[in-house]
Amino acid sequence: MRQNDIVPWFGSAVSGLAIAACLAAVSPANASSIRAQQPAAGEVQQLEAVVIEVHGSVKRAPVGVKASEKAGWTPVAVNDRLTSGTQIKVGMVRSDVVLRFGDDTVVQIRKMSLASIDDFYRDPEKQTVRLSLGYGAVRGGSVESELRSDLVVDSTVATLAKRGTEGLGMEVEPSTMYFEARLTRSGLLSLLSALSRNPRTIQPGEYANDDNVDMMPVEQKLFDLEVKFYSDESKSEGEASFASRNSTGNAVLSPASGSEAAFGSGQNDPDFVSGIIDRRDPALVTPPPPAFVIRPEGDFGVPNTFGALLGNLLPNKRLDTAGRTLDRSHIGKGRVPRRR
Amino acid sequence: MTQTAGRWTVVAMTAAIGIAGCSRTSVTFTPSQDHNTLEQAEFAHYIAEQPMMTYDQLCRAVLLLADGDESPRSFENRVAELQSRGIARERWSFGAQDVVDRGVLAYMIFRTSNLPGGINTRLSGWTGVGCERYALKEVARKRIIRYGLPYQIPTGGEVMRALARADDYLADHGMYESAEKEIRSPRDVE
Repeated sequence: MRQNDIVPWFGSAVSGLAIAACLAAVSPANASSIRAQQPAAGEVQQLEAVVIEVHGSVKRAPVGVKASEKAGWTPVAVNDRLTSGTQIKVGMVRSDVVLRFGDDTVVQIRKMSLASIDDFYRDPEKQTVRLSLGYGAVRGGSVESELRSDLVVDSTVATLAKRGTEGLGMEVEPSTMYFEARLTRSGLLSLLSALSRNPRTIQPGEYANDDNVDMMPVEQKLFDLEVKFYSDESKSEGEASFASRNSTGNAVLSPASGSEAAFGSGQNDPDFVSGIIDRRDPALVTPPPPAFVIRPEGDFGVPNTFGALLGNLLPNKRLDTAGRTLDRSHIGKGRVPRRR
Repeated sequence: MTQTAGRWTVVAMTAAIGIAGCSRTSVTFTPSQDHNTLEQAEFAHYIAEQPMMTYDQLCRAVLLLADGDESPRSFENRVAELQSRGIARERWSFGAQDVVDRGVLAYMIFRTSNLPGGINTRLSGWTGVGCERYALKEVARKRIIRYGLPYQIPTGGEVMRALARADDYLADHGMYESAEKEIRSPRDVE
């Protein structure tokens, strides 16, 4: 079977996303009709995808035509039938196309995407759909039918879905190849990174991207919380390292310097921090601060600068760096401010 | 006297370093093809293959994002149109082939998408100090663009993907009438 690489600049490091939906349940109502369509043993029947919705600028061309060229591309219309070896490019804004593969699978190729249909065929055992996603975003799903159905989308990572997956989605950023795969409704996805070959299971309501795909499976909520509370821009190097080793499971990737070192140092002991405090010299231990304390650097993102600014607006009043009011009349050349 | 002169020297040096540090290093890029000869879809996919993006190209892409369609315009016309809408800042003095950084990109997305900003964003927008930086934080918080430093130069692919996500944001928030619906199952298209 043909496997087209629509983006040659991917290079060897970027090889593929695969979303596979395997459907096994039997629907008695349409079982007989599906059996009638099944090819004989050993026979492979090539099929065509049907365009069921088009919005905005969507064009198609045989695989091999460059996306940035105008020649060779023709607009896609509803009810067009697309064969294997067709690539599709979708415009940047207000554009998308929905394709139906047989009776049980739909795929929406979203704006600013370049994708191709590599294979769509049916053999006696299953129906196979293979797409290449150069960049952009796809989403869609499958419902259960008599025939097992495989849906594979090649891009940066590989994902496997089993038993009627609905609400799967995949996004790949051009040139940087950042990716994100998600499952919004039901089913199960298994994501396989082409670079690290690390699998990752995605359950409904979860997503995985290049940030977390190589990490030990953790609760998605925990991952989000970690990201939410410690955004990238606010982390110091030490905090990022600590969070990575203690809350994301990243340590398992480097056993010699990760979790083993952390366990060896006792950082995972719940009494680790309190133990350090207890071992300190009592003379050096500072008493716990009161509930509200004015610190020179400000509290909770409200720096004292605002207080000083407000203070300066008042006549003859000014706040010093500790937030205390100064008598402005004493501030002058060669005179030392005197606190009230 | 000597002490006063020394103080003024320190002040002058600090100001000079500050001004030099805040100034923008102009990087120019000559694309291999004139984007004005390309139609909308070809333009977008051509940009996605570029290592960086010029200000002229970004102005065209942002107008496309804001209006959903485009008409042929010159560079000066695009800039004037964006400035009149408040999407491009008048203090920017970029040439057509100047390369855009993440801060400029984020600011234009921020203004086009009418993103709500926090107090720092509003203050920075009012004073004009650091507004690109805070716009980048807001846009990154909405997951339209990945966080990076405001002076970093994004690739063409990053820019186009960010603009596509911004278009999703506009559609989700009803800023234009979208016929697109979320397809998650064959049942969604029946």
